[in-house]
Amino acid sequence: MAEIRASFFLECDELLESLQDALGVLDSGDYDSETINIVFRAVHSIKGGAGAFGLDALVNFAHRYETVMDELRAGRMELTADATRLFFQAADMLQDHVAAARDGGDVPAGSEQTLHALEALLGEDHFAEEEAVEFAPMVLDFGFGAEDAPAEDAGPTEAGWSIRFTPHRDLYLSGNEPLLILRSLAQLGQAQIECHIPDDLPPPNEDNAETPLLSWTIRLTGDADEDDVRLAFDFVADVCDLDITPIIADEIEDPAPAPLEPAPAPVAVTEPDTAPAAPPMRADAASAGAKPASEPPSATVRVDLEKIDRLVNLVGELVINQAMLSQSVEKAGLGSHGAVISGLEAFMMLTRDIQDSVMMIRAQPVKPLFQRMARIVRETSASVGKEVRLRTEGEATEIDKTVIERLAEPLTHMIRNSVDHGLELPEKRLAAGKPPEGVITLSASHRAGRILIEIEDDGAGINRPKVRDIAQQKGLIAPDAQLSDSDIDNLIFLPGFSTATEVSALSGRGVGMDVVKSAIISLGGRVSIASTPGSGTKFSISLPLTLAVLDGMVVRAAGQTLVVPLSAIIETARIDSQQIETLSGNDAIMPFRGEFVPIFDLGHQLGFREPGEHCSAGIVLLTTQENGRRAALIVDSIMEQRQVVIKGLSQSYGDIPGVAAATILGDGQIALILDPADLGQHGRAQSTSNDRRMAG
Amino acid sequence: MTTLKLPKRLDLTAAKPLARDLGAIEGGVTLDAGEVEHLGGLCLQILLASARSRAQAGYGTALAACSDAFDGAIAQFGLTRGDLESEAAA
Repeated sequence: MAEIRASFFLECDELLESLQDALGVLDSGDYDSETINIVFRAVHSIKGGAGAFGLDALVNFAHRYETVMDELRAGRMELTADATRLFFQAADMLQDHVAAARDGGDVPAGSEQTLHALEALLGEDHFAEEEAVEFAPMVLDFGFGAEDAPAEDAGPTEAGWSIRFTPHRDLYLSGNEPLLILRSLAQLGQAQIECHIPDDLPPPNEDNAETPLLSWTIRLTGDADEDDVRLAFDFVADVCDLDITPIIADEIEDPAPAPLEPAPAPVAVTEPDTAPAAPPMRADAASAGAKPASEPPSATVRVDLEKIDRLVNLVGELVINQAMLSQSVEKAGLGSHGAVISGLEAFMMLTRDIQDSVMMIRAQPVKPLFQRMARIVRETSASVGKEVRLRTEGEATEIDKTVIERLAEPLTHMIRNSVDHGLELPEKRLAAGKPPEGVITLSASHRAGRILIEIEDDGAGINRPKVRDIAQQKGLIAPDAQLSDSDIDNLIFLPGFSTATEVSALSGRGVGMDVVKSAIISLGGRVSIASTPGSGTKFSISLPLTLAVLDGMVVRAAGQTLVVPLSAIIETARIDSQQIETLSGNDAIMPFRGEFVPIFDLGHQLGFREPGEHCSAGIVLLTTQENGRRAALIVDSIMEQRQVVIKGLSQSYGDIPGVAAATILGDGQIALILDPADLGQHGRAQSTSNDRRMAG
Repeated sequence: MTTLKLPKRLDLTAAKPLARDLGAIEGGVTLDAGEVEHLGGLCLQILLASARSRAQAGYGTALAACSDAFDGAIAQFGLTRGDLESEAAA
């Protein structure tokens, strides 16, 4: 039971996702009736499942939400901007209800207000006759044929059957009896039988005594297959109306009181009325599919994350083992043996393919994360009185699951920050010649072997004089410090910095951007900021694709073997000591393809040797950072390029500036994996007096 | 209130007589289902229709006794005793 319940909540997540998607389409204005159906069915399916588990609060909320959606679906309600906003709000609340039901929490605050606001859209007179009209559109929508189709091949996901049975007069006249059929159905599994009594059942007399008007819907759950079900109707197939539809697992209906469905076929449905004595009736299961018929469902399996992690670890070991084998082959003098070498190469390629495939298992699209952010934007903007639209790009970009989970909190804070501090109030925007509605763009993309997530607002940009003043007041910088614009922008990442003179309830929760930054660093990521006064601010978060393996360049510096991630290296070149220009202290730059780049001696930077010892015969690696800055690292020699398995150091040693992790090489030696961008920043931090950026 | 004792077998053949008997009773009715061994779909419909029409006219329908078979059949049809009863208007 616990497993089924867990599976229900997983389904809920998917349904909530499709709900948000469809609401997004509604919001865009470019929607059709199917979009509304998707919204309706998502809410309906959640209600159905929740009913099966007795989650009354969730059922109640979903039911009332669904009722309003149904009015929209039936075209009896106009979709205004206000309505869309409330539908979004209700979807958020529904998500809270699901979470509360899953985690045993309380009914989310504000739930009743949201429902009232939602129901107010229908006008006051609606609920006076709610029962009468509520599910009438269901009948009109029975022509859902197209969507019923995929259910027929649903195969293993079928959880049972929904059987609609209307006996004809001949059924009785031929000596058959519905009671016996119902009884034999009940023996096939768990049967939930509902009798449909027409509202206009005439008073009994001899003339109508043999005219059957009752019909039944049987929800049969269990292992019975369609043949078993049909067998029960074997002798009456031609003297009754029979409709057998599979019930998909995620559509287990609620036994809780639900609206009545109008009477079955022969009885008029033109004036639906309530039959108070009739038992609760549910909607036809066929109308509750969550996905449009055009998308064939892809087969999936749910796997325990632990199992995948074990696989990832094993693949890591395989990579190390393969490196060791290569080394042994070399040592054994088999380097020129064709068959051995080609076998080894094939082995390497296979290893890489396996590793890529394993990583793909863990990767998930950022879409759900972005949807959560859409909610943050809605809530934050409503509470600060700003009009904000969130645009998302690259929602299909996949990131390691762990990274997605751990990114939610810092991203939430950054989004709140953008709404609260980044964007101006509507009147200020109008005064600045901007549209009153601010836009926050959240995008994800692959860049240089990493994932780049950007949060960009079209607000006023960072108020640099103010930031500088505050940093000075708080003693974070010396009064006479020479800071570039970028340096000033980066001050907001310093611990203890907060520009809000009045702590707002939203972003000023004592969690500063420094916490955001360290959360991202702990994921092996980096965050940078770019701001243009008057036109906005952009935060860029760069994250590794995976937390397990990377392509690295193995180099030597000051007698140490080190690994530089290949993704960070733009090119390598032999050093020309004539070209190195010393600026002040130990700062040096060198021209590189028409641009001056700061140059660092890796051996010195990591404390392996004294400054100035670097030999003129060294090699420079030109590295890049997410913000487009470049830096050159001097190393003694390049040994090879290879895949290395990342072994974290931060748990044992904490954050080491410039060092991302460690790895084990083929010969068993341990080498540090460097973080060139951090090395560059670290170098800059040591000498803030010069802005070495050159025109380029 | 008139009491009607229901026959043992409420099947096709019992439908017309049952409809006639119930139709002949004006006002409230008490049904004695204590000896019912079989309740079929047609007679079920007649009992339901009788209870409804009586309720609409302001009369009650009560079940005086119910055999196990009667109760079992009602449940098998997806109904409860309450569906066959109605209160007289005050």
